[in-house]
Amino acid sequence: MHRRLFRWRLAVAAAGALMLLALYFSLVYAPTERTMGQVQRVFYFHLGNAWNAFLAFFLVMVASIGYLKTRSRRWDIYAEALAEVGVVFTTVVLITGSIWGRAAWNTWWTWDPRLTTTLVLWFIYDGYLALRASLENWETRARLSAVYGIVGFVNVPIVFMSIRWWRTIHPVVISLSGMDMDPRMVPAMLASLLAFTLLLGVCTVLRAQISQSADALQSMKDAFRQD
Amino acid sequence: MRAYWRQVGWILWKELRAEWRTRQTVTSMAIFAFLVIVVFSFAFDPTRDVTRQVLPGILWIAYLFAAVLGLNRSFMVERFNDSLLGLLSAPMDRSTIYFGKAAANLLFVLLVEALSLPVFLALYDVLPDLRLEELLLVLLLGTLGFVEVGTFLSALSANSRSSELLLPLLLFPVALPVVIASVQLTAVLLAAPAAAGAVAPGWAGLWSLPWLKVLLVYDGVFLLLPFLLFDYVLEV
Amino acid sequence: MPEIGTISLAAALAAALYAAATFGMAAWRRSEELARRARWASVAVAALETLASLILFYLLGTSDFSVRYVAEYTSRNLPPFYRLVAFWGGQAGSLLLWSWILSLLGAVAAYQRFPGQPAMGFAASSVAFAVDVFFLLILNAVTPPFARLSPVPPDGAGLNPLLQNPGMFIHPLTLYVGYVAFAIPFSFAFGALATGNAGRPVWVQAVRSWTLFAWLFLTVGIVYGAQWAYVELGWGGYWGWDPVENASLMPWLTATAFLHSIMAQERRGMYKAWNVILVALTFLLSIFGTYLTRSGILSSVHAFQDSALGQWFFYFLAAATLASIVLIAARWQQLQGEQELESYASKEAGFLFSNLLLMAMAFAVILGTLYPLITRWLGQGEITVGPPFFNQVVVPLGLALVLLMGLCPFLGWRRTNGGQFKESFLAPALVGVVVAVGLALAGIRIPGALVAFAIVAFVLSSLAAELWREASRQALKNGEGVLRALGRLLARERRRYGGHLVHVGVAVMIIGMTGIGFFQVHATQSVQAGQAITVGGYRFAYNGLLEKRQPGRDVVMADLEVSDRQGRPVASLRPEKVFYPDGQNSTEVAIHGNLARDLYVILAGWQADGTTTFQIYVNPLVQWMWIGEYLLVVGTLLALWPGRRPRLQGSGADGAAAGSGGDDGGPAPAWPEERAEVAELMVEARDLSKRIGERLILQGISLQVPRGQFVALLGPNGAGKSTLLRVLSLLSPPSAGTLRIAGQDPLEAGDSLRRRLALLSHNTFLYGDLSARENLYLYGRLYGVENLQARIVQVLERVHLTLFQMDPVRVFSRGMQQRLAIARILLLSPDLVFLDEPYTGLDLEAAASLNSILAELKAQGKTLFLITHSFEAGLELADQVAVLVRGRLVYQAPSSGWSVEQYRNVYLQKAGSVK
Repeated sequence: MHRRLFRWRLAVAAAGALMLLALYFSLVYAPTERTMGQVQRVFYFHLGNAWNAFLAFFLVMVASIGYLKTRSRRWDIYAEALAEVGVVFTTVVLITGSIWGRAAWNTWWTWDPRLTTTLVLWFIYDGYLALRASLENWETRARLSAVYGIVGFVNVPIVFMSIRWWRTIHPVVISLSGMDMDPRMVPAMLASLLAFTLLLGVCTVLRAQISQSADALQSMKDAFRQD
Repeated sequence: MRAYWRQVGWILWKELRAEWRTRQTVTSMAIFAFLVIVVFSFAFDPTRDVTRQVLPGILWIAYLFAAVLGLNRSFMVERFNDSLLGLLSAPMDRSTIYFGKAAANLLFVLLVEALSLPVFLALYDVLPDLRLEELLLVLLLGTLGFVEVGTFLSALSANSRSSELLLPLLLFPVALPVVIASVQLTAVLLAAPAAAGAVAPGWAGLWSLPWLKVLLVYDGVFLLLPFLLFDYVLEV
Repeated sequence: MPEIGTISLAAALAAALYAAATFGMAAWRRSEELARRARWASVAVAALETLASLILFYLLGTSDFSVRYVAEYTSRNLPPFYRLVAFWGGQAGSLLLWSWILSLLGAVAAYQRFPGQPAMGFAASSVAFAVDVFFLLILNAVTPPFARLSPVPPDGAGLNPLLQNPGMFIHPLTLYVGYVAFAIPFSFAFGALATGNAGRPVWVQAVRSWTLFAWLFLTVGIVYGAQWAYVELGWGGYWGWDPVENASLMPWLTATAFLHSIMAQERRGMYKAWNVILVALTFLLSIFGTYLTRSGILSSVHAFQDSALGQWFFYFLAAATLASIVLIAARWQQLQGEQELESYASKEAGFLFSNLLLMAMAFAVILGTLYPLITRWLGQGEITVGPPFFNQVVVPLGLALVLLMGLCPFLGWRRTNGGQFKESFLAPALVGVVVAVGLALAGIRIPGALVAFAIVAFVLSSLAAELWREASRQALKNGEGVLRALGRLLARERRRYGGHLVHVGVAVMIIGMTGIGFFQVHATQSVQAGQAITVGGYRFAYNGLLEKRQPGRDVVMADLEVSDRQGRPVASLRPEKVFYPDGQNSTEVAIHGNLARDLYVILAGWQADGTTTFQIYVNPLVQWMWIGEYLLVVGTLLALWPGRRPRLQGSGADGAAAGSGGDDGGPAPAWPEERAEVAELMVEARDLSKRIGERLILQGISLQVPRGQFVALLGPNGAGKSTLLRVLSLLSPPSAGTLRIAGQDPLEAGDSLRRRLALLSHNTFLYGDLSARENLYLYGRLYGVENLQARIVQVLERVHLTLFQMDPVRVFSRGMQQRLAIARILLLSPDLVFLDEPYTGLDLEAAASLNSILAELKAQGKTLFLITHSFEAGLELADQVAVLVRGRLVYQAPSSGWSVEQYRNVYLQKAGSVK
């Protein structure tokens, strides 16, 4: 038990340290971009969150498959935790993407394929959470949301390709990689990616622990009621 | 194998028969579709050029929202008398239920589309020389994709209390590729032949766009996926 | 004529589709009859493709330029041999070749017998022809070989002069046969996985010869290609790590791993998962290789470029990969090894290491080959990885592998006897060390070369020692001469010694590779006539240029006299440049080779003033590579040579299979009832438990219900009665324990077993919008009731609902609905009826009616299972009572003739509360 606690603390500390490092690299070390100025720094957060949003939802699919195969509550707890944290990350992606768009192309929203796919992703996983909220029996909830989790993620590539083709027919002058990359920006990007990935892990585990505690409480109540 | 499809047929028969008794769902869907089309004509002036550009969108919004009404009822009816359990205890593969209902839903929605298409064409004064067979194919493929996912998700959401709210919420994001592809293809087909950027007439022209392929892939994937996952949804 | 070709390809596609589908059905239904038809179809496919190929040969031979393919790849002045060889010179033709070979091999494989598991063969053939369908689809739709050209050109474009060379005949042909032939082991693996046989020896036995066959061709293709590149392409080397070359190497590596690791499965039932993965990887990599060369995504000296085709291959590859992953994952349980690895010094461990090494090499090759793509994707432009990377990574791994190769004869199965090992290992190891030291003393200082030579010496001496030891032992035993014993040994234990010979061949090839790899000397110089170039201790005296005109080509040669250090003449060399009328030119290298070294000269170019540039290579020991190659081939042929049948009979394509298993032959039984069994026990449950999510609803449920008995199940709310009913009525599978209904296992019997059951619940399962009659009709049809219309009339009569049969059920009262539900049960005429609180909401009259019907059912010999809370009705008919409390059966007893009072007492006692 001590070892686990230690490793957990280490993970949290590492996440914190990496985040500080990422902040340093993003805000201080990386040079100011030529055209967009300081606002461009939001890109580093955007990138970190974007990668993790997709990662989180991929893992939701994995956890869904895991639940359907093993019927173990743990997989379900993790699916839920990942989906919730994933939605948060996705929201951040959308907001930072919007800010970025405003800075780069003077518009609050662009129909860039990646951003639009992220928006659809946001909807899909909002649906996932809504589905979970509407089912009371935990077994039904776990099973049906697992099915939806799989369907949702399988759909993502198709959605992405569709949106991309859609956008090439009405070409948007905008493209997300319209930025001059200075080699000094690379550490910021990498640090940000790593930091947010670790943050994803930490947040997910925390959220899962909440569910597990709630479960434990409930079973204590049940045992009490039984007698 | 033959027995399998026969059983799908019986499920389909049941759906059609039950609907024929009351004709409630299809009529509601059709009227809703008309309503949407008409309301849009108040929102967008049918005579203006700009409106022509959003016509495909209007058509599909009318269809899809009407379809959601019908899809929702698809599994809700099975709650009455627990008849789903009756089907599950029958000696047949559970996926026949999916295929039967999906087929029925497809027929219903296609019927609604057939009924509302003339209304649409009339109200918006679409050119009479539109490419009909291709349009029908697009309607078929697009509706098929939507109905496939919709039937599946309707089975899913039927388990929850607020299924009417949940189904559209789950369905539309997942069905987005179908929406995009169908609208794009319809736009191409409704466009005047001499318009700038018009696609060559005939199947070759249509095939040169990515949308037909998207529809085919989507229809294929979401025919297979429910088949694999349906058992999990119907567990008892 | 070309039209016939097109038609036969289209017909072949149809036949292949039919074959694949019918084989698939045959596998599903285990029907020999369907398989027979499918086999005819497979022969038809092979015949049609042969026809199409012969037609293409004919068109090429007669230079029919109205066909686009002929016009693109041949010309009038092309010698007849090359006109035919142009068959596989282009995209469409080479795809036709693929498909043709596949159809031939597939047809042969279709007749292979799998004793005891015929369904596996059917499934395998289905997969093989499904792959052929893919190729035929492309041939019909995307790159038709018989497409016409209009207007007809007077002459064709001709074959690339580089390809006009006898090697052009052998290299692509053997390579393609190798690639394609791996589809057969792949299909066997798929068939085995699909029919659940992947853990059994039958698929291993069946696949061995095919794998060797395919591996042989692939190896010959690769090595011959290297040889050809060396001799023809003229850049001084034999392997450039070109993407297309790598494409052939990747599957070879995994195939070699498979060949070896399958022995572990044969002997000890281990590495089953490795084996299916390796065989799938081999096939997928060979398709992947084809994709790389044809899609144009990587630039290479000999890629075909066509991105449209590439897309198709990509999708096929993606689908095949996905299917493989899914199938392997689904059958993972069956792929668990039967034995554990007992020691790291054992043959099994050796195979494990060799698997790992080969996979690492394959991975490195894949990574290096795909690197430009990855960097392009990441937006960093295309960074190619060249020979240095590959050499640095692959060569050490390869040497480690060769070392392992030398060790393997000493390792025993399961574990190695330390003493024996030391004995046998010491001498060869010593030889290796001595060789290394000796060479070092002789002046060779490059560590890599020393290591390589040492390992080769070790391997060769260890194999020789092994041979000697075995032969002398045999000789002693049989009292004959050692050489004679050796001969007998080789003849008898073909597989083993064939394998040894292959290893010898590999070791010899390493000699050659080391020589040219480390000690090649190279010079590029420009000289005038009369001057000389000195390279690597040889003096190349240049005498001048000569010209020769031949039909269709102009040849310019340089005349060189070579002499060694001491001035003794060694050879005269004539490197050439050939010019073709259409403007292309090619280089002919001049080689003088002996066992010690090759002298390799390329005429690079010349200028007007007579200054001629030469590239000269001195390649030591290169010839050993080709010697090694021949040894390899001989060894493989020896191993392949059909001999005494292995233990499991009938794994060859010929011979009648004795003792075909019970699955073979006979029409598939459709419904279990046709077997006309009368099971003693209708319901037999042993230690059933059911979990919903993580909660255990039922545990340790055991009961036995003989035919015709009436069981009453009592219990308080929440005890799990409905769940138990659901499990017993097969609506819900148990989480653990065994269940038999009418003597059958529901998992095997499938959906059809539910035909004999019916469920009557407090919910009626009726559709409100349908009429009573229609409801019955629906269920009757779903259950396959015979004489349906008459039975409906009968049944409605029995429950007194005839008057209301056309009314929609939603207008019925509760009692009427329940009566209709009963009618449904009567209609279905099940052997086993489950009743879940059927008396709920019934008035006295209805309850009495239900009672009488239950009595009738019991009198008819049906087995009944009743859950009820009402102690008033139904219980007097019961023969058994069971009490369920909190998921456990706390009481079971026979209860014929009990009074209601007795039931109540038991209930109160066991369940402890009054309803």
